[in-house]
Amino acid sequence: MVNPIYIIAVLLGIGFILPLTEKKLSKLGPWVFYAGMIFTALVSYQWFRFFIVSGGETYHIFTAGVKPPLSINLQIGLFESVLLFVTNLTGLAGAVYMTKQISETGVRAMVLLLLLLLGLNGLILTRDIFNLFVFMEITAISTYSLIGMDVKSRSLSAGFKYMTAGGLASAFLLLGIIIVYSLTGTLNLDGMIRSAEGIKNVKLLSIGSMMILFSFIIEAKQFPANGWALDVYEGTKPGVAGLISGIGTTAVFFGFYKIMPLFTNETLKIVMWAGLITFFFSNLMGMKQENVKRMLGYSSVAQTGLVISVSAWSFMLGNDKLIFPMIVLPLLFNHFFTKTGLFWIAGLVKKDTTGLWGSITENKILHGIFIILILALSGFPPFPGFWGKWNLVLAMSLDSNFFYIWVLLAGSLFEAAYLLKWAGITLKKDKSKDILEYNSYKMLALQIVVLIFFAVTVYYFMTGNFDHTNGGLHFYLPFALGTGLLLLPFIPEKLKGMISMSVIAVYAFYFLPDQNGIGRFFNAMFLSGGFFLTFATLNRKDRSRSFYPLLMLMLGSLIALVNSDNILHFFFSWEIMTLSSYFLIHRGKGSAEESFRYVMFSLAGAFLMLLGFAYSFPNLNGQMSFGIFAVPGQFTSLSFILISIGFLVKSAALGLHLWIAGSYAKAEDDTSAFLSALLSKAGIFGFVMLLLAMGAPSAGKFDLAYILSWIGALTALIGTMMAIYEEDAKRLLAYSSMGQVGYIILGLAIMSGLGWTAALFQMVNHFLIKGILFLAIAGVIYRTGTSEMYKMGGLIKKMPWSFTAVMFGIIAISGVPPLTGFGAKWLMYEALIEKGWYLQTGMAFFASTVAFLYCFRLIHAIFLGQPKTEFRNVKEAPAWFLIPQYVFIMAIFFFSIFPRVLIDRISAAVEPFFGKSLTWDGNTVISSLGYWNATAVMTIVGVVFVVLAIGLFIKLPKVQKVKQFNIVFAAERPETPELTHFAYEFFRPYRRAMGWMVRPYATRFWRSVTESAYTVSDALRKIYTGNGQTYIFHILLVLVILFYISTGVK
Amino acid sequence: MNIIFLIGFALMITGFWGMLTQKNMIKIILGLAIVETGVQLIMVAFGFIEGRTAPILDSAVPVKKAVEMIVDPVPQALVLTAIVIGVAVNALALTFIIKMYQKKKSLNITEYRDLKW
Amino acid sequence: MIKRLFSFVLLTGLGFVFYYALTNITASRELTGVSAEYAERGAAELGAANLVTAIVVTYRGLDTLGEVSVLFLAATGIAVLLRRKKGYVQARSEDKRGSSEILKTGTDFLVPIIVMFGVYIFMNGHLTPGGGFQGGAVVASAVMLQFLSNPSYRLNHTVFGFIESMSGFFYVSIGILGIVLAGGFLDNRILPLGNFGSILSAGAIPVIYTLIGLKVGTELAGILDNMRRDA
Repeated sequence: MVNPIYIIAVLLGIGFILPLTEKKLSKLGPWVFYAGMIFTALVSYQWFRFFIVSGGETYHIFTAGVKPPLSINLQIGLFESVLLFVTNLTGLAGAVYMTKQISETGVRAMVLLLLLLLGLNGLILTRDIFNLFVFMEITAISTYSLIGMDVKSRSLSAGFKYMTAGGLASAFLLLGIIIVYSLTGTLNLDGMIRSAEGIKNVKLLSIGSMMILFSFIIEAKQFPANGWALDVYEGTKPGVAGLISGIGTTAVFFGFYKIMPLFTNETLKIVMWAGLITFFFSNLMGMKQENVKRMLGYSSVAQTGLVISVSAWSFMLGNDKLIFPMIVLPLLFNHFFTKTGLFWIAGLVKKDTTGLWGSITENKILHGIFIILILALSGFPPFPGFWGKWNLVLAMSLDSNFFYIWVLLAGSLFEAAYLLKWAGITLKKDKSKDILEYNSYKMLALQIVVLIFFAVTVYYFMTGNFDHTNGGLHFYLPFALGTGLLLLPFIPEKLKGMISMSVIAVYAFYFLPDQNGIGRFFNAMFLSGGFFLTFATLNRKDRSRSFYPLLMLMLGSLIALVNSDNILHFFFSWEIMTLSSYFLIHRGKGSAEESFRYVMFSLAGAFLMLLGFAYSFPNLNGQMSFGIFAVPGQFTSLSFILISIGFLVKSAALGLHLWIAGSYAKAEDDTSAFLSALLSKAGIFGFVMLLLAMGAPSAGKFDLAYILSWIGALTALIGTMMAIYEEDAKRLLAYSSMGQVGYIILGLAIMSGLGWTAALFQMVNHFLIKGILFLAIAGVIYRTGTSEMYKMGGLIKKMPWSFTAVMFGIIAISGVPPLTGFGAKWLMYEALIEKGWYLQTGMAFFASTVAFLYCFRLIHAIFLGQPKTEFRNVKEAPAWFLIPQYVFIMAIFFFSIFPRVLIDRISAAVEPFFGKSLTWDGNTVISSLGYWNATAVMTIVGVVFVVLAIGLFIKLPKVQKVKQFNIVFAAERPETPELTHFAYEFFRPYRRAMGWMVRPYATRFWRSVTESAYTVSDALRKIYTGNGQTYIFHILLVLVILFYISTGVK
Repeated sequence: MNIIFLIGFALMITGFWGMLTQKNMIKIILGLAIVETGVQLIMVAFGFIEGRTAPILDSAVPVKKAVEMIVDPVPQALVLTAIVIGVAVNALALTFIIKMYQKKKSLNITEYRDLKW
Repeated sequence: MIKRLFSFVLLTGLGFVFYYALTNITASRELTGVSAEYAERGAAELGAANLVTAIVVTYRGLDTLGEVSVLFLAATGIAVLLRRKKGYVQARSEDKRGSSEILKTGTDFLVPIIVMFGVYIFMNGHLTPGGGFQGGAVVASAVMLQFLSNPSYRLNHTVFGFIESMSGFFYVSIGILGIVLAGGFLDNRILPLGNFGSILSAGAIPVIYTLIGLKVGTELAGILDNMRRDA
C-alpha cells in the first residue's frame, strides 16, 4: 500500500517542477501532469479497495517522525478512502474536461489543478485543525485562480467576491483555532475533542468553537451568507464550476464533518437547522431562476446545506457511524456526481438560459445523460439521492422530528419543480438551428463521471434496504425491461412492442396462477390491460426509441406496486410509476405544461404520502412492513389523511383533479388509454392497501371514511358535470374517468363487504370501458386528425365498427341494463343504502343520470348527424385499435351474462376482511336488500332488442332518406366553424342553470398557490444584490446572529 | 496584556468598518488586511506569558529550564503561517483588482454587479 | 448614509461579541499541553535552538510545506491572471527616463548587502529569530529596490524560474527522504543533529530553511515582476 502522504508529495513535487517545462520541454508537461493525476487516483483506489474489499482498519500517518499531538497526523479510513477515490477520479476527469482551456492557458493551469487536488486530498486526510486551515487555504487560493483564469469581467468580479468572503472565513477560523488551542493546549483534532469536555472556561470555548463553526458556515456556502457563491457558480466557466460544486464542496464538507464532534449539542442543533433552512430557501429561490448555472448553484448550495444538516443531527444523536453511510454518503454522492455532470453538460451546451436548451437534443447520448442526472438530482429512485432521503425521512420520524420532514420535503418539491421544468424544455424539440459543439474531451470527462455515478447507483440499489428474497424480481423487472428495450439496437419499434407483449404474456402465465386475494385482481387487470392496450400501440408509425421502454417501465412499476410487501417497495414503485407516466404524457404534442402539472401534483402527493408513512413508521419499532398502520399510534389519523391525499391526487379527486383533463387529452392517443384504464387504478390500489391495513380511523369527531365517501360522491358528481360541457372528446373522457373513479372511492369508503364488492366490480368495469372508449376515440382521431367533436359528425357510415364499440361502451358506462355498468351501480346503491348513507346515494344516482348526457354526446356529435366534407373519404379505424376494443367488449358481455364469475372471486377476496355479504341462487345474486339475475336481465333485454331490430329492418325501406348537406341554417350564415355543427355547446342551457358547480374554484386556488410561491421566491432572491459589499454585510450579520442565538440558548 | 487583545479586536472592527463602508476595492482589501493583522495580534497575544522570554534556547535560557522561562512557541509558529497565507491572498486579490480595472476602468465595487439574484 | 448606519449597528453588535470574548479571556500563567512538551524535548529531539523554527520546519512541517505551496499558488495564480496574450508588445522601457547616477550607484551598493542579509536570516533560522520566509522576503526586497531604481531592469526569468522550481522540488524530496531515512515525512533527522547552537546543527532544518528562503525570495520577486510589467 502506498502511503497517502505520497499523494501530497507527488502532487506538490510535480507542481513545483512543472513550470520548468514551460519553454523547452512543453511536450513533456502534459505527460507529467496526467501522470501525477493518475498516480493519485491509483493510490486512492488502492486504499479504497483495501477498505471496501478487505475491510481494513483505519490507518494513521505520522509526519516528522514524532507522534501526535506534537506533529501533524493524517488518517485514512473507510470514509476517507471513498471520498479520496471519487475526488481524485473526478479531478482527473476535470483535467480531461478542461484540456482545451489548459492548453490555452499553459502549464500554470496544470499547476493550479494539481494544487487544487492537493488541497482537497489534504482536507480529507488531515487530523490537525491548523493543518485543515492550511489545506483549506490551498483549496481556496487555487479555486480563486481557476475562477479568474479566463480573465473575463464576470469571473473576475465573482472571484473577487469569493476572496473577500474567503478572507473573512479564514480570519475567523484562525481566531477560533487560537482560542480553542489556548484552552485545550493542542491542535490535534482528536486531542481537542477529547479535552474539550473538561474545559472550565466554557464561555470562551463556546466563542472559539462558534468562530470555527461560523467560518465553515461561510466556506460551505450556507444561507444567507452565500451570495458570493451563487455569483461564482454563475460567473465561472462550467468546467471549474463543476469542480467547485462537486469535489470542492465535498472536501470542505468533510472538513466540517471532522470538527463537528467539537461542538456541543446546542451548537449542533443550530447547524442542523441552519443547514435545513439553507436547503429550503435556496430551493425556493431557485424556482425563479432561468440562468442554468445559477440555478445549479442554488441547487448545489441547497444540497450542501442538507448534507451538513444531517451530519450535525447525526452527531447530536451520537449515531454518526451509522447515519454517515446510510444517509449522508448517498445524499453527498447524489449531489456530487449530478452537479459535476450537469455543470459540465452546461459547458457543452453553452446556453445560459434554460429556454434555449432545445439544442441538447442534437446529441442523444448527452441528452439521455442530462435527463438521468436531472432525475437523480430531483431525488427519484433508483438513484442514491432517493435512498438518502428515504432513510433520512424514516430516521427523522424515529427521532419524532416531523417538522424537519415537512421542511425537507417542501424544499425537495421546489427543487424538483425547477429541475423538471428545465428537463421538460429540453424534451420538447424546438427546431433550433444551434449546432452543439462536439468536444470529445468534454464528453469523455462527462462519461467518466457518469459511469462512476452509475456504479454508485447500482451499489445503492443492490444494498439499499431491499429485501431480495421477497418479490425482488418485481423491482428489477421494470428496469431490466426498460433498459433492455432501450438498448436493443436496430430493432424496429413494432418488434419491440411485440416483445413487450410477449413478456407480459409470459409473466402473466407464470405469475398469475400463484396469486390470490385482492392483489390478484389488480395484477390480472394490469397484465391483461397492458397486453391488449400494447397491441393497439403497434399501430404507431413513430420511430421514437423511448416509447416502449417507458411503457414497460410504467407497467412494470404498476405490477411491482401491487406486489410490494412493505412501504419502501410501495413508495419506490410509486415513484417509478409517476416518473414513467410523466414522460409518457410529456411525449404528447403541446403537453409540456400539462405534464408538468401532472408530475408536480403527483410528486406533492407522493411526498405527503411519505410524510404519512413517517408518522406511522415509529409504531412498529421501525419496521417497514404495512403492519405499522395496523398498530395504533399517536398520529394514526394524521397519517391516514396524508397518505390518502397522495392517493386522492392519483385518483384525481375533486380539488386535486387539475391535472387530469389536460394530461389525458394531451398525451398521445394510445397512451391516454393506459392512463385512464390502468394508471388511474394505482390510487385505488393504494386505498385498498391503506384501508385494509388501517381500517378507517376517526380524527376527533370526524369519521374519516365518512369524509372519504363525500369526497368520492362529490368527485363522481362534479367530474360528470364537467364532462358534459367538454367539446374535446378526450377531455370529456378524462372527466368521465374522474367521475367513475369517484364512484370507486365512494364504494371503498363504505367499508362493508357489499361496498367493496361494488367498488372492485366497478373498477373492472371502468377498466374495460375506458379501454374501449379511449381506443375508439384514438382510432377516430387517427383518421380525422382532430379530437374536437364539433369538427366531426356522421362518421357512423365510415366507421361502423368504432361506432358499435363506442355504443357498447357508453351503455356499459352509463349503468343501464343489461351490461356490467348496471351491475356495478346496483351493487353500489345497495351498499350505500345498507350503510344508511342516503344523501350520497342520491348524489351518486344523480351523477349516474348526468353521465348519460355526456355519453350520449360521444355518439351524437361524432357518429350521428351530417358528415363533414373533409371527412368524406375517411376509413374505418385500423384493426390495431379495433381488435383490443372488441376483446374488451366480449369481456364486458361475458361479465354481463355471467357476473358471478367475477363477483364470486371479488367476494372471496373481500370476505376475509368484511365477512360474507352476498349469497347466490343459481345466477341470481341476493343481497340483504334485493336480488339481481344478470343472465335473466340479459336474456330479456336481448329478446327486446332482437324484436325491435326486426321491426326496424322491416320498416327500413320506408324511411325517407335525407340527402347530404341538406341543411338549412335559416338564412343565417354561420360565423364560426363551430356553429355549423348542431352539437356544439349542446348543453349550454344546463350550464346556465348548474354552471356554478363547475366553476374553476380549484384551478383558481392552485394558481394562487403557485403564483405566491414564485412571488416569494423572486422577492427573496433580491437579497443577493450582486454587490460584494452587501455580501460582506450578510456574512457579518450571520456571525452576530449566530452569536446571539448560541449565547441566548444558554 | 489585555490591552493587546483590545487592540487586536479594535483592529478587526476597524478593518470591518473599512470593508463595509469603502467602495474602493483596494480599500476593501486593505480592510481585510487590517482584520488579518488584528487576528494575528490576538494570536500572538494568546501565547504570551507575563515575565517570560522568547522561545530561543541559548545561554540565557538553558534547555533544562526552558519550560519555566519561555512563552508559548506554538502561536508564533502559527502566526507565521497565517501571515504568509494572508500575504498570498492579498496579492492575488490585488491582481484581481488590476485585471478588473483594466476591463472596466473602475475600482468601485458597486460597478461590478452584473451577477446577481 | 443608511449604509453607514447599518454598518455601525452591525459592528456595534460585533463589538459586543468581541467584548464578551475579551472579558472571558484569562491570561495564561504557564505552558500547557503540546507547548510544554516542545519546550521540554524539542531541543534534545531536533537540535534546534529556536523552538519556533523546530515547530515550523519539523513538528508542523506539513503546515509549512502547505504554506510554501500557498505562496507558490498565489504566484502561479498571479502569473496566470497577468499572462499576456500572444502578440502583445510591451512598452519599450528605453522610452522611459533612466534613473540618476546616484540612485544607480546606491542600488548597486545596497543590493548585495540586502541579499546577504536575507541569506543570513534564513541560514540562521534554527538559531536566531527569522527563517526562510523572513529571509526570502528580504531577498525579494532587493529585487524590489532594483525595480524601483532602474526601470529598465529585467529579471532573468530562466535563472529565477529554475531556482524557484528546484528549491521547491528539493524541499519535497527532503521530505520524502525523511520517510526513507528517518521517522516520517519531513523528519529533519536525516542529517546529523550536530553541535547544539552551531550553524551546522539541527539536521536538515538549515537546508530546508535555505530552500524555503530561495523559493520565497524568487517567488516574491516573480510576483513583483509580474505586477510591474502589467500595471
